[in-house]
Amino acid sequence: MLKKLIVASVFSLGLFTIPATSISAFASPQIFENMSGSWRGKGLVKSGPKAKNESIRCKLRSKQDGTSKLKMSGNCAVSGFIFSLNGYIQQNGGKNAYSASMFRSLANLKQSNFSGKRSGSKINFSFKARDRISKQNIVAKINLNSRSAKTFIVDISRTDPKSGKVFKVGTINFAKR
Amino acid sequence: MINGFGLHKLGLIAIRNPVIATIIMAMISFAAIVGISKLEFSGENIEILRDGSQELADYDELLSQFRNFNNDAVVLMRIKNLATVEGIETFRDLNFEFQLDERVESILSIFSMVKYGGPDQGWQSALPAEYNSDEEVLASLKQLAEDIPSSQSLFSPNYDSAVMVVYTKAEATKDKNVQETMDGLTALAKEFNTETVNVTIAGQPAIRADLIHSIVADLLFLAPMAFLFCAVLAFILFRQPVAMFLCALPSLLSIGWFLGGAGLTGTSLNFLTNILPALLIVIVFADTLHLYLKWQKISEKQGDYIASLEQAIREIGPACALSSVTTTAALLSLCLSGNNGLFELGIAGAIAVFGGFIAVIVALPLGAYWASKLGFKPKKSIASKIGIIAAPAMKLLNYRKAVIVAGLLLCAAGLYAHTVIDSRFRLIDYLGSQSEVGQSENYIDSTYYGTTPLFAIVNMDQDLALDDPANEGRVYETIEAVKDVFPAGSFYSLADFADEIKKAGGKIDEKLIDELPRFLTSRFISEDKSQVLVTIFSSANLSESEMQERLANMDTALEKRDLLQHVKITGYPVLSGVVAPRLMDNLRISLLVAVFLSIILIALSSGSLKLGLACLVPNMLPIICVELILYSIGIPLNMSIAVALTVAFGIAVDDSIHMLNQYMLNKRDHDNLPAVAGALREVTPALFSTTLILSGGLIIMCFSTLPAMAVFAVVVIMTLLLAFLADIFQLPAYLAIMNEEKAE
Repeated sequence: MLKKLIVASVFSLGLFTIPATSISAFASPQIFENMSGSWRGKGLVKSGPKAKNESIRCKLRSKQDGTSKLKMSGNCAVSGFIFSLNGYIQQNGGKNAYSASMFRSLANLKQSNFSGKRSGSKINFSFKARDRISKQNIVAKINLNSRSAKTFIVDISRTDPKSGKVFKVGTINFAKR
Repeated sequence: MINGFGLHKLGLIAIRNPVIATIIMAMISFAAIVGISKLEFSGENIEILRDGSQELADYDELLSQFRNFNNDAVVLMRIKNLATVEGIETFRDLNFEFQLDERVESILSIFSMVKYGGPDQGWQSALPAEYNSDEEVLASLKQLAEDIPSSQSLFSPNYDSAVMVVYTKAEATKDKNVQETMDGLTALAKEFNTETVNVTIAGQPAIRADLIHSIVADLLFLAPMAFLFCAVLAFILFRQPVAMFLCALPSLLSIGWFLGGAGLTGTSLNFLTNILPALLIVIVFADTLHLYLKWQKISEKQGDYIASLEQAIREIGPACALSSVTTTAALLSLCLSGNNGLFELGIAGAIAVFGGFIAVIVALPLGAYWASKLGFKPKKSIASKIGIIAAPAMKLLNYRKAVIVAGLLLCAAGLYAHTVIDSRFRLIDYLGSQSEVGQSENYIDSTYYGTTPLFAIVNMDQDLALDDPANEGRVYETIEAVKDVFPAGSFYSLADFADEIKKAGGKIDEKLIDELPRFLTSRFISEDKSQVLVTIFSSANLSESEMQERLANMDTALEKRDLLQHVKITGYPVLSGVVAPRLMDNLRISLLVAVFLSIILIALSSGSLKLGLACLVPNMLPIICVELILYSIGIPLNMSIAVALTVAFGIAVDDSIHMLNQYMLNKRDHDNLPAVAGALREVTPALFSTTLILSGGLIIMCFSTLPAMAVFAVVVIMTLLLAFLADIFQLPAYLAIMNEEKAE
């Protein structure tokens, strides 16, 4: 149980950027409008390259605050743990550059700054964070594929602190409620 | 004549100053209406048991050092077959739904179980994230039970149900929020209900919410029904709408004042004080009838209705006052139990009964005064036609010595039952008979180890590190002691995780625990890390003897390992299995105190110790005969019965007072035996009527959604019927015997 939190913390580094990333990459008044509402996420994730998959579910509610900001609240659950998704995504000066603060509430994320850019219909997002347990700097990558205003899929990959290699954490499918 | 401590003069003052008195009554009633709008309800049951004992102190320590386990609900999913892909995935979905609910802090279920998968895989859920076949599900559940024995307390051996413990947030389960929270969680659960799946919620928050629901339902149903019953009965007796209104008015006012007073003073209605509204209506109605009948009788002779009113107050008022004082004394005797809940019931009940007396002695005369002024003339009641009921009692007066001997023998048998009858407190007795919560509690108790845990608090040696072998050894030894008494798989502790961490070459120490969120560690270790918890799934519905046996066995197992000074056993089952039965024993003592207190009050008000003593056996008989009946048919004493006996005694003694009052009035003009016979003739119809009225009114309480309320009503009715018999057969025999002694 105790070490499970370690697993969960690893998940959190990758997982809880997903909705934010997707939104920030699209960030424009229209995209923010599309992203407003209630979302449910469901998928499989894992903590290391050779670890088993874990089931994950998320509930996310987002609401537009002005034209360039989206406030978000909700939780994700992995096994016996719950993580808050409360925070916001903001477009910086109308450029293809975004920032978010929501992950500060996640206990396991030391570094909360992250940024993302859009490329076509896919969004490639990355951030640097400090792993809470290993104290190493790690990189997480998010690929968001937004097929419609009602669904989006998030693929997550991240650096394995042990090997330093990138592995696929998992995929979460979000659907509007 | 009985001396009513001058309280009846309030009625005389009122009808001599009718306008002022009416205005005061109206103002009080208006304030009560405001108070009713502020009335609150409470499902709290721990505070009711609070009695300053060591068991409560240990329980408080548990809640302050670890977490408030009273906020933990248990979700039960019954399903055709959990060991299928569909079954297990439904349960997984249910888990996530609850886990992600904003009112929930965390959950414990088969999906939160973890095991170590080696250096490469690390820590993983004990169950796979997805399944491909039913065989795979069955195999994984079997493996889980083998790897983590405590998981067996989370799904049934035949795979037809599973449970999860839902740790709700403290704010969500406060009294004002608990019903809304449980309604929300229940709605969430219902979304999963299909033909083959049934999800229900049990545990403390669910019980509390259900109690509040039942209390409100009872108040909205029983009080109006009791009032309606009294009103209809008054109409049958007097066949006059105005008479019906006059007789119903004091009951209506007294319940309004009581509820309004509770609302204004912020006193919540709980599952104990819930008995008061309906009870108050019938008690007040009985006294109202005595006064009304007297007024009707006197005015029939005199013709002057206002003057008759004064005379009726002077003749019956003192008896009404004394009967209210004795009922108040009986209720106040509950305060002697040293228990918070009963103290509140005693005080609230005493104030309510006194308010009821004011309503009888002031509101009825005022109503009668204004009605008379408007030309109302009371008709003769049909109650006068049932004088024949006194005939058997009159005949038995000739065999008074035999009657007294028979009464004494019965009294001896009853006293024996009083000392040996068993006690039991089950919270589910206070839930509605159709309550899903109650049914789920029963199911979980029979299929699992129960919803309500016991806790072994292990004190660590604070001079040593948490992972020092001496401290570790103490925890493991405690677990061994638990294994001696409780089945394998019925408990869990920090040691389960320590064992898994050791496999990874790690260890649990203070630093690791500090890194974890408190909502997780609070289930296992105190914040200052001076105490470690072993949680044992148990039931809150065990009898006193069952619980005592388990605790004694646990003490023996701890003593064998020299751990008694380091380990405390606590939890709600200790409160319900040990504290509550002790409370009931105290109640029985306070009942005897009430008996003797009432005898003293009767002796004081009649100015005769002999008359007081004459009332002793006739008033003890109804109570101990009820205990004898319960003992004979094997029903253990519970809190409702103990309270019912005390309250019923307070009401039953009223019959003796009215009989004694009439006897003393008759004695002014007659010899002793004719005075006794005259009192029997005069009072028996009124006693019979009021017993029927009280019993009829209380029968309505048998329709309560709370089984405990129905038990309460049955016990009070039995006591009242026996009190009626004792007062027309036993009391006259004693009064007659005393005369013989005087003649000698």
